[in-house]
Amino acid sequence: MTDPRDAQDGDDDLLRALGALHREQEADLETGWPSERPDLGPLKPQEAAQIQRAVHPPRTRRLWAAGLVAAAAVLAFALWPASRSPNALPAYTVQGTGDALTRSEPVAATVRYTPHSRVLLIATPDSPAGAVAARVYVEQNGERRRVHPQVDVSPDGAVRVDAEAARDLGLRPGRGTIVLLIRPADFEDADTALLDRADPAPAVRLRHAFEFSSAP
Amino acid sequence: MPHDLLLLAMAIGPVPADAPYGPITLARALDGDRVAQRVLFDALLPHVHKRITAILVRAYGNRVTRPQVLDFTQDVCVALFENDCRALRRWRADERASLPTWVGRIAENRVASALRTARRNPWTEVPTEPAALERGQAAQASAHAAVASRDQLARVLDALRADLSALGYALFVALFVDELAVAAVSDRFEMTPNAVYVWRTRLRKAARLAMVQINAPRDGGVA
Repeated sequence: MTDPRDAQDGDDDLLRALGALHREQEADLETGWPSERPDLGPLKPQEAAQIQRAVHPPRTRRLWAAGLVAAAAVLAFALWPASRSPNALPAYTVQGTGDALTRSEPVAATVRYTPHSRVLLIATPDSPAGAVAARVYVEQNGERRRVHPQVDVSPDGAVRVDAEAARDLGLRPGRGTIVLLIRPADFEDADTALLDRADPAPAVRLRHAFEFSSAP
Repeated sequence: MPHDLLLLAMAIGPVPADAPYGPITLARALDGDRVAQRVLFDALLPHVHKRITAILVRAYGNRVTRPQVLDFTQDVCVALFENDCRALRRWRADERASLPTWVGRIAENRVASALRTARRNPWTEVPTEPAALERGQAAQASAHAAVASRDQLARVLDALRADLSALGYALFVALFVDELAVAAVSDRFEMTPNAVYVWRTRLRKAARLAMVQINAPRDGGVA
């Protein structure tokens, strides 16, 4: 049975015309660009990367907020920025938390982690650093390898690393160092050069010593 | 240097075989898989950016600047992925629109709504014309019959986008863009058919009002 309310009145013509135009606009966008202005063209890779860094899954965003609160409460620990050239990134202050620190134990130059320890490092520039990229390396047993934990970068260049010690960083029993390399987003030099030379400028190299034990 | 995404995939898991929009990719992304989310983000970002460029250019012409487009693009992308990807979860595989098109509609509605508010509108210094609007509302001449040009209709459509709530816009799209039957809309939006008819009436009024306002004579001349 047909509902009498399905009978169209004149205003449905307008709505149908608007719907047709809507479809037409979408079809136009499939094949063309909406502006001829060169400054309103498609995204550049750097712009896309910046937007990507701003997009976090909700869980991550909550952790980010929680991490900031936690970081304000916990103790700063041993990290030392490398010397910088005049064009280098600003100095960074790093705070962190892990199992040991969240239990309010005394600050240790070397933080102890177990497999499921949460490793949270927050590096804050002394002044806005602009667009930066951050990479994480682990140095242990005479070798250095890049690891890929969750790394978030704020528009001002603050960096947060949030990881589970074994799963995300692949820490092995014994002592080692987590190296956080923060570099201008558009800087082209290879990481290896920045990690090896005494002065990594214009990048900043931060080191965090740890001792990992497989026993919980 | 290897691409970050490749490194991410090497560290965590392979890129889904049906990337970027397949059901496996989507399911993994909604399940919190970072690789899948990154794949989805990379694929959707150009659509969001293009759509936002389009609506801003239509609405504001040469006053639009690239930073403003980027700002809105970032806002929309964050909105899509925040709260456990709640916005993305609303898309269903049986939607008439593809995921990029559907996401573009979200972007469009969100930007239109944002521009409606003084807080977010970067062009709030542009004077409105309340007197003209009042005259327009008084006109009440069968507006729907006065669709004179595509340009005029486009302005009505943009006004409608800005005036409708997210639900109202979604219902407009379902009823008049995707041209779904009331029963199908009722099922999709989990509302009674009667509620859909009520909404259709509201849409008629909103469209008519937008048309009247667009057609209202403007104060612009200098005596």
